[in-house]
Amino acid sequence: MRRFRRPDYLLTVVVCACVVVAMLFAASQIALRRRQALPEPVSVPGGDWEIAWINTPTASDTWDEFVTGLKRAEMQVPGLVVDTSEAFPEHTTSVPRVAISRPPQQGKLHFRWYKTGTGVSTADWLAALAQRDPAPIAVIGGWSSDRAIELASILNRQVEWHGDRPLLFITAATVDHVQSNAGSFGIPGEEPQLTDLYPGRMFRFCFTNKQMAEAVTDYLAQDPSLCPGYGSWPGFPCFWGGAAGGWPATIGLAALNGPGPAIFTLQWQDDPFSEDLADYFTEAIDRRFTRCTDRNSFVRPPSAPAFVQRNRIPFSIGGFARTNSGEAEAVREIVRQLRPPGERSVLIIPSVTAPMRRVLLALSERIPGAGRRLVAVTGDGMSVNAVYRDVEFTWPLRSIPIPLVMFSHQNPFGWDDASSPPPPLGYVLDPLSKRGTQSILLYNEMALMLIETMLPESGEVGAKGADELAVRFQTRMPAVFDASGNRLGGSGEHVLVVRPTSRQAAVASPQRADATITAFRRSAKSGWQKVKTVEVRAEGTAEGRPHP
Amino acid sequence: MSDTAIPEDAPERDSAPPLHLRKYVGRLVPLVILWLGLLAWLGWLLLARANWGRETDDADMREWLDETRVFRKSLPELVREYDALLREAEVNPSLETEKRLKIKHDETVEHLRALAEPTRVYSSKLPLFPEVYAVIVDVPGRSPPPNRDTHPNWRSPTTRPGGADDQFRALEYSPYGIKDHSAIIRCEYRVHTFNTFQRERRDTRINQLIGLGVLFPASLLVVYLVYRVLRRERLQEVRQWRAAVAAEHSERELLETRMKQQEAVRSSEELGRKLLEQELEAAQLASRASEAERSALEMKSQLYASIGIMAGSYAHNIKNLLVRPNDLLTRCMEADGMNDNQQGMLLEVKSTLGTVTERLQQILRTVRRDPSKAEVTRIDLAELIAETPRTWSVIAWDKWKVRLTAEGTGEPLVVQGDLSHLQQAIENLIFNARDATFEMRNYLREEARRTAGLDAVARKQRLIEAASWKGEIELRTRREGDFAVLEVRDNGIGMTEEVRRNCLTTHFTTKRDNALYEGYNAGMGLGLSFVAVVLEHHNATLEIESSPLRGARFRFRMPLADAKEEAQ
Repeated sequence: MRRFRRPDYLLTVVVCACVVVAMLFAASQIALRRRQALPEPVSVPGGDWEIAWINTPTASDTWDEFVTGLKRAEMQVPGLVVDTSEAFPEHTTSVPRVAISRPPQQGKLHFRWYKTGTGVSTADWLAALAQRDPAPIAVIGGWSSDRAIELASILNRQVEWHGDRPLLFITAATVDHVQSNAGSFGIPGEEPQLTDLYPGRMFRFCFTNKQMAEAVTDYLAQDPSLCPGYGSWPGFPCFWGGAAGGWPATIGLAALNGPGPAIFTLQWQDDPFSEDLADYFTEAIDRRFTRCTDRNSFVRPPSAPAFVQRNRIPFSIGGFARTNSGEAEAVREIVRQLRPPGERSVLIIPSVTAPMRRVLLALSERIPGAGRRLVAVTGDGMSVNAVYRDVEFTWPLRSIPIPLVMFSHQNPFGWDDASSPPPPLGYVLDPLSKRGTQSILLYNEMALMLIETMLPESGEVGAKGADELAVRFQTRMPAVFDASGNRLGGSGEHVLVVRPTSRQAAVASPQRADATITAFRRSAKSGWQKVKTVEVRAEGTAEGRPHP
Repeated sequence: MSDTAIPEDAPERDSAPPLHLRKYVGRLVPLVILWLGLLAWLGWLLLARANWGRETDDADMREWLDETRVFRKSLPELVREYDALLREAEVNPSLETEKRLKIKHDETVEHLRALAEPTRVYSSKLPLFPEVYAVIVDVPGRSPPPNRDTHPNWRSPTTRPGGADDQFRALEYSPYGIKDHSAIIRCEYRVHTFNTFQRERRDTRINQLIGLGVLFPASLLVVYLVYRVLRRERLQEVRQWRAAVAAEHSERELLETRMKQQEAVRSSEELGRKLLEQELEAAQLASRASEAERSALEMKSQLYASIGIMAGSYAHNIKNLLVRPNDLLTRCMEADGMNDNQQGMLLEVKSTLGTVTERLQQILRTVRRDPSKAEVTRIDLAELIAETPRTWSVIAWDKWKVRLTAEGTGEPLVVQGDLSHLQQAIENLIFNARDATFEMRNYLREEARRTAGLDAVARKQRLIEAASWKGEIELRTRREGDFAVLEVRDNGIGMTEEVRRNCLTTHFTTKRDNALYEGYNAGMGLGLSFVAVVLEHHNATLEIESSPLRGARFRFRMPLADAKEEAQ
């Protein structure tokens, strides 16, 4: 034994140990790299639940809003602890996470952001989550309609889980129906609904395309300044024409019995949301404005059918301001078919900011007085931030005089005020930040529902799994979801009206804002209620102050 | 000192133990391997670090290409869809497929344009973003769609400057991963316009390379210096070790010397102690000897006392018994009718009885006192010797068959002594001589009997001669200086040397075990010891000369009374 205590032997042993450790380390690194090719979900402590938040790595803004919505739940739920210490890890490849606990309730609710990218798809993550024990109780994803369809289909195919099959929470995908074949889009009512792809386990916290289209159309019908057709009520030109000598009134009289409103739809074929929403918009507007047989109605008594022009654009990709080939062709068609000045046509433009910007810019350039001849309606594809917070970069207001009516699932101007409970440090909704609050409030609403169900007040028993959670959501009072899991409409919808200042008015009054954005909230009892109006200034300070 | 011895002034390292370089090198091999491994690892790190900037640029470009979604789909997704449509068009060519393929082609082109154009347009506002010259999609082995010259690509209208090869880079990868290269995405770009970080990294790399260049030879130099230091330290340690060993040796020797001294002292003390013990033991022995002597003397005294008592008792009884014979002799002599011869015999008997009575009287006087307590008087030794034959010569001749003679120089030899003791001592010597002659006669008789080859006559003659052998006891006195010398010589059996040495010991006797003396004398071993005690008390010395069959001569010297008085 003394031989092995000699320094040279010890040194040899140390060297050999170092070599072995180095080889093991190298092997482990190689194995780790191979293993990293597959996603590796974070483990869930016993007694806790996980909700997988699946999104692309570039969705940092969405995650910020999601975390803010969760964190602000502390304001509404006393004793709630929302741990955001790991919500923004140093490494972008790490899994950001938020944990919600409500002592003395046992168990925590973990939200983990599993990032999909080029190397790891949503299917990979779901497969990995299915192998993990326990399975997540829910998956939040489907940030666009096409992704939601994909996610729901994968979840429906994945049957084996360690525990209940997770629920699918939708917060942004609004498509109602699903296209069955590529390039062939469904007719409303005939194609399967999105919720049918994962029946009984999908809950949509946002409104659907149909609800959005009906809400926007409903608002449009109640706003005379934006009504399609002749400006305001068609009887007004007759009245003023009669006062002027009689003949001019014939113009207005002719309008009362003239052709129906012109409806131009832009449908991007690579976006099922666009196709679906365009269909619903067309149907809703047509039903609301042209098929009304009530001739005693003062709102719109036309009897002629609406002129509907569908413009299908192959894809949504394009430059910042330059339209792509399909969009340019559609613009040309719209310009060609547009009604003469004095009549406002409806431009259904169900897309996201960039295509809308390109098309509206092109129309504004080509149509004189486009602000008076067109009203653009859309869904929730464009955030209020694009025309309010980031107006200097994303929405050239002075170049787009066309008024725009948008949809919002929540109040976009729900900033904190003096009556609000003190928000957590760093999670203030400050009007000076010009940050839209619709997504935060939506996530906050979802968080409150989850907390109420999973981590109820002391003395109540929370849901233990996905199945029980689904039942409680379905039986919740007051009801939030319908039988298929879609959010109930008719109340809570918000509409935003962007009214650019006309060039003449801007010249006459340089101090005037470039545009105003007015938010309205739909109430089941009292209809549309104005929530707030903010001014938008594309140059200099663009403070959001209430409209006088 | 031998010739091979190391001189005193020789260098220290010459006298140091030889350095086993091979052994040390062999043992240092693992360390060297470890050091080389670490050095190689460091070099590899620096080399990887040198390419880090380029790898980072490529990674950033790859992330930009992969993760940018102009509209929901990334470039790899579009390329994969485009590739799938190309395959479908090959397998199932149709107008619908062709149309979709063209749309996908255009969509991809739009994507590339939307992707890259801003970098060109805003290049002056994005100094850290690479200048992109081309983003090309290639599907090897497959032709572009009809009416499309190439697969989707975007090329910058800006001409790539010549001489920019060092900055020009091309990133090429497959949207399917590293194993499937059925489609290729290629991006040509130029690195940052003015990247201070890159410059700092370059400077750092240069410094690191310089550092590595310094580190390597410095490591070798350090190894050499360490070797030198270790060598020097070793030599110093050897020197110190030797000095320590020498000092230790000296100290050990000193200690050993001290230990020896202490040992010697201890031995001396031990010796003294033993000497003292021996002296003590000797003293104890002397004490015990004196005690034994005293006991012996006491025993002797008791013995003498016992003998004296017994002898006195016997003498008294005999004396009492002699009263009646003397009375009867007196009455016989006073009676009438006796002739002269009878009268003379009676007178002789009466004289003899008188002598016996006187002797008994002397015996009584003697035994009634301690023999060690002499009653000193002036005694003429010559006269005492001269009277002795008168008492014992007739008995010796008649009964003992021994001729007793006395011879002196005629001058008086006066000594101080106890008359009865001296007289008894002389008689003891005479009795011993008598016994020796008896033994000699017996010896001669036995010799005559045992002699072989003799006929009966000769044997008888020899027996007669043995029986007629006459013993001789000769008393002789003379003066030698201040001493009176008395010799008692006989022609008896003599003594062996052992007997001669022990003959004065109390209770030592050769007569008791000798059957020849049975019936004559039991031999109690007291005669010569009594003589020795008496002579000792008279400050006389005794010399014994004897040898077997040659008789014995007892000679004692006593200081003459005159000389003794003069000396006093």
